[in-house]
Amino acid sequence: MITAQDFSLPPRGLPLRVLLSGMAVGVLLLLSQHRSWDELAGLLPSEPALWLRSGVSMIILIMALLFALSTGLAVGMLARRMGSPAVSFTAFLGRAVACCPVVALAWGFIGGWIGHLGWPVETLMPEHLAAAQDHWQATLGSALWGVLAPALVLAVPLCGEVVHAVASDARLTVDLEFSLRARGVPPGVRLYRHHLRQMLPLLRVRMQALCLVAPAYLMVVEDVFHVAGWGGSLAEAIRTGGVNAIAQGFATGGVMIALLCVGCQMLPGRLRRVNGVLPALAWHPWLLWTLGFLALPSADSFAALIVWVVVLIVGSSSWHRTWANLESQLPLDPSRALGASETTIWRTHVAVVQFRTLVAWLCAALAQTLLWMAVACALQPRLISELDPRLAGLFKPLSVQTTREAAQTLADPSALLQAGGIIALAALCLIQVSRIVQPRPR
Amino acid sequence: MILARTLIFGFPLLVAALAWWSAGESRRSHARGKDGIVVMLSQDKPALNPYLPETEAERELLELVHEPLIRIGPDGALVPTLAELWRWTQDVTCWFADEAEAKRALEQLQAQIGETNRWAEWHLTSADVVAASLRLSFSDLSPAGVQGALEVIAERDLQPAVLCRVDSRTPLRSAWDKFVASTTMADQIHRVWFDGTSVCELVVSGKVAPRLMEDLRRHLDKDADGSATVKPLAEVGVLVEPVLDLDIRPGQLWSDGTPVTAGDAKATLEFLRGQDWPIPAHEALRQIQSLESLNNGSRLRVVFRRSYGPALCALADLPVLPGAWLRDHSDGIVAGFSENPPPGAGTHRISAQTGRSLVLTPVHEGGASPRFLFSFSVSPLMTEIGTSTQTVDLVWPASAARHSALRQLRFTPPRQRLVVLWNTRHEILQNVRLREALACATDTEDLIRSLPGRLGRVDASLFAPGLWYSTRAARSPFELASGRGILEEEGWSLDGAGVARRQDRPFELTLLVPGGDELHTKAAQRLVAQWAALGARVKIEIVADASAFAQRLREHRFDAALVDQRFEVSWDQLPWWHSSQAKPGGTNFCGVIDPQVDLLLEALSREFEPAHVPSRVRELEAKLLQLHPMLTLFTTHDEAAAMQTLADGATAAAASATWTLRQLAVPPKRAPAAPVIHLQMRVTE
Repeated sequence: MITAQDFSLPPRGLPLRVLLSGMAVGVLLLLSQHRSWDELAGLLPSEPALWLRSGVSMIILIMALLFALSTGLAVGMLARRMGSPAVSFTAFLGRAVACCPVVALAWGFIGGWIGHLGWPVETLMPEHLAAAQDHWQATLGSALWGVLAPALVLAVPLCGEVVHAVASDARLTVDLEFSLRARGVPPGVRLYRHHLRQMLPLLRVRMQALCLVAPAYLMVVEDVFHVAGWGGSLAEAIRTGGVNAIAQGFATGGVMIALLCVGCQMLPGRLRRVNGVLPALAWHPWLLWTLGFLALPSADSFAALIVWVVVLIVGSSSWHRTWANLESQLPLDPSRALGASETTIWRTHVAVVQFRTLVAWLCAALAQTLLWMAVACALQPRLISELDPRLAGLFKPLSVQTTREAAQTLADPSALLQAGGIIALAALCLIQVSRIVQPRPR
Repeated sequence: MILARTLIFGFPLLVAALAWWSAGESRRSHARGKDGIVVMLSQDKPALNPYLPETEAERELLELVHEPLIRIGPDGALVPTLAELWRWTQDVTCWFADEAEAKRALEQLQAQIGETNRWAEWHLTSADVVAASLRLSFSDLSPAGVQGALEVIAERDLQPAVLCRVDSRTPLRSAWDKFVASTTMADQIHRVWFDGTSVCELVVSGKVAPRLMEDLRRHLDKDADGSATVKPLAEVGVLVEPVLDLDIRPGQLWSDGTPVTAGDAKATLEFLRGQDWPIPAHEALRQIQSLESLNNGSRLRVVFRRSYGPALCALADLPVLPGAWLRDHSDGIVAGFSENPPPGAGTHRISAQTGRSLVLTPVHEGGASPRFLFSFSVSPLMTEIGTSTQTVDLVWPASAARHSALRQLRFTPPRQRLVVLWNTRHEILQNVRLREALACATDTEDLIRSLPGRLGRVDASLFAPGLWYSTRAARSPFELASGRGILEEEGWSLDGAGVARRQDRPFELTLLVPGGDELHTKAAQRLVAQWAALGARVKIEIVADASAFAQRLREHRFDAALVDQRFEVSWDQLPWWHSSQAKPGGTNFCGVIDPQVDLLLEALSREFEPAHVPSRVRELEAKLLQLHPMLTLFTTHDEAAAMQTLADGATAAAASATWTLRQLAVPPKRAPAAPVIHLQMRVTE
């Protein structure tokens, strides 16, 4: 996976942890800016309009996640049925799609749909004269398209993630293919009953991981589509540096993510919950919080470093699990039994594997840093000026600051798509290098 | 298993199908027919004050909602709108020692209705005794009839009338009311006219006039803290007052269904007289002595203080508002215009409005007129989306839209032009030949090509273009060689640096330019470059403060000045060129002093008959344009981008023609033929 290269298990009580941590981070942000207790008390919005905004965002998120889940499963299952090469190819495609910067996807869609085809996107349309003969279908269709358009765009990178997950997590299941075939079980039953039953608990964990990331993507999508939702207002608050609104966004975002995580528990099957510091630390919407904290002026100079550290934190649990799996399969105890010294054991059996794992982690972290910097720069164009000029040139087209720039991008999104394509390609290459370098447990 | 498979494959398909259907419905709901026109404007939502539109778009929007009594038609002639007919008459009032004397005078006049019927000869329509005065109404404005009638009653004991003027530094109204309530001579005060709040003029008759003035002076000394002055202006035997009668067209309704009456027009004009707004009709409204609604609200009678022919023009394109609305909003009219807009008598009504949009709906549903949606403060992104999805019909100004998306550019009629005023008292510019040389050296085509915005060619006429009396006077063609020739004839030769000199005096002057407008600055720079080719060394002086600029003009402290000249319907040019206005503080900024021109200006100012105006205008221009008092440069136009939805064969053929929203609202095929008005005075029944 792009967000978590390898599989990791969530801690116990994930929804509650996310809910509380969202509020805690909001309070922390307000305290860091020396805000009054009254402002702290207003962390959770009391106005129904703000909850209504969150409701709109929740609908978009649920639609996008469900669409990604079902499409990912459908594609993954079809690929599995077609054989191993198809699975590998599909997984690669999934990774490629997941590597696309969401801002480029959103502007690409708008540029094609509105700019090229001249078809409407409800949330972006100017006021129009309602025809006297407008019937309920038109009203319903317009309202539905207002939600579906951003949901479908948001679903694209999530689909990529799920497709990759369905393909790569299959190796974590018990391969019953031979025994089921021997018992004369039809292929469809083997796939959709036996294999899917094993996959669903894994997908539940993957979907929970996606729930932590999707709201950050949603911010960009809502901002580009001008959706009057939680993400759009948080993106605006981040752009303008409105600390109170950002803190409120963290708190309401925590509630939303907690609800989504609870919703994911409706998927059948359950994996063992884990204890420990790393899962407890990693399973939080760190990247969402980071985007918020980058709105503070003091964070400008270290934006890339902060994102990189956060990416390391987010991936720490899965990489630790990967290393634990690898370490358990290394012949350490037999070597000790044969009298090899610890230094010899480390040099002979551990060092190379450890080094390759570290390189893989760094490559994956670098790819994710690149993608998250694209998100951060899209939301806060001022960060670009702090980057290396070559990187700044790459990220510049992604930041559509003014309405005039937006109009130019709509008319000709080629510069933005080019920049998005280069970033996606770079991230995909790094991910592939990471996968090549990383040792696999047998 | 079946359920799982159905969900896995069914959900994406269901979402895709829903997306396809909803996108299609959304497309269909945006792809409207020709039932409405969407206009995108980059300006903020206007205040909707029908008398002070800030932009051309606001003006045209308001023209759809409100109707004037008289409109300037497409052919530039006066077209009756709310007023069906109008006619000028005049009232002559004379005062006698007592009522019996007035009645005897009346009997003398009535005796003239004999076999020869001298009343018809004098155009005398009625004579009435009111207390000790005799009021004569003439259907003709010529003084001959008045003179004939007055000769008959000259032997009676006519009381002279004294015109007095009261000036005060403080508001006069309450002090005046108290005085009228307290004095015993109130019946001798026949006319009171307030000019603003602190100046008023009175007409007092009889021998008590000096005593009344003294009493008034004493009263004001006490009440107005000694800041008021009372002085007699003139003494006249009779009072002559022009009267304009306007018959309101029957069946005209406000958009709320109530009928339009003369009372509404009266309330509107009274309201406007009380405002200090810089509207073109301001001067004519000041001259109104009284307003009266007659014949159950079907006739408006406007009495003017003096013979002012162009007064009719004050009513042209001046929107009329319902009297009831004006009364209801007397405390906050300006806020009321935007918050609770008055119903109008135009083709459309404001049916909905928000902070950033406004919908105009035709008053008569089902007609050919479309609805309008005006979106204000529209961002470039919204404009781009509107043009890409073809959900917008007009983008205003056109510069707000991407040019590749434009189908057609539409230009609004010109409302003003840029001119250079010459100070004819300047040492160099007092020579008319040199002013002519500068005109020859001015290449307006180059200005129009090189300056930003949509600019139009102009003629040299003093008057607005497109009116029934416009002359299209030819301007001096660009001939640099001719200009140089004139300079040489006048003894100016070029030195080595290319500057014209005469007796070591260089041809130097300063061009005064108002600040704050890029067009002015760039135009001035181009002009300086063009005149430099002639040999004139011109410096630009930018005056940022508008009041300081106006002060410089009034005090003639300039050599040449670049000025925006707003077009007006009125044919009165007296304030700008008459020698009485040439002294410092006057409005004859150029300082033109020519007795012949004065006579022509006065004659034009006294002309009541619109049909006679063209010949008088030609006479005036034939004399005044010879003096080259100003140099006309170009008109400025608003430019709107019309999308494919509005393009048709007719408009494509006349793409460069000026155009208004009204033309969209009332398609030419369905519009009533523009009436040809010869503007002859109607004979009284």
